[in-house]
Amino acid sequence: MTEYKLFTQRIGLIGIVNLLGSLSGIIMLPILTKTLPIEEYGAWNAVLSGYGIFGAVVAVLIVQIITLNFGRKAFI
Amino acid sequence: MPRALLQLGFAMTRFLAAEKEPNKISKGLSSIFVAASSTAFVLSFLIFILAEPLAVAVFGGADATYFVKISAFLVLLMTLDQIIIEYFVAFRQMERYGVFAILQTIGEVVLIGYLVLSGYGLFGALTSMLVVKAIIFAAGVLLVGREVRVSKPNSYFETIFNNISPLLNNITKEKRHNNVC
Repeated sequence: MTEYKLFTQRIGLIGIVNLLGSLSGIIMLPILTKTLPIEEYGAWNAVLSGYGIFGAVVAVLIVQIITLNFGRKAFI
Repeated sequence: MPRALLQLGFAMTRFLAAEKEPNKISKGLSSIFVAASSTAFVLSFLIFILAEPLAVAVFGGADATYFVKISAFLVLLMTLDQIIIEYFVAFRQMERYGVFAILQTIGEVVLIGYLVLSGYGLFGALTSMLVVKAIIFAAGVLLVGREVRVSKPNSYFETIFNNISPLLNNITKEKRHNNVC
């Protein structure tokens, strides 16, 4: 029973943490949109969403190198 | 999950969570840390070097070069932070995970809000994010360093990569959520 209680408490904790994380967006959005110019807000979003394509390309290249060196056995 | 982490967060949960031997845990964690931080470093270095062309391509002008340079450091710190967070998840230290996540959220909201409202603009927002992430990483390293001693990455690294390699291809399919490279 104690295990289930601990499990439930941990799930609850993660739920609260995620909820607070989502709420931070609600607080930040009006501050940023009111204060930053359109260009800077766009740049902020671009930085946050990551240089998606650039990051993916570099990560895939690195992955291929790693897979060639370490992952051979996994595919044979 | 940051792309530079190469899905090694899953590897930590898969291989180290059930491990009882402190020696194996420290070798596994060191291996993951070295792999992820090297990738993040390469990625940040490339972004830093290519800051000007990236600024022209993404932001439409060389004026934004210094934003790109700041975000290069952000890539590195986000990956390092995520390793710490994944450690807490893998070893079921949910209270620490919760405290770290909440402190990071509150720290970012307060500092970004303060600096942006004080007129520092995007530069202030990016700098405050960097500062909060650096503090969280330093605190995480202090906590994890007490439990796991640093050791040389070894053949265990190969075992992890052999088994995680099918997941590595998911990097390209990841959703664009919290993924600064």
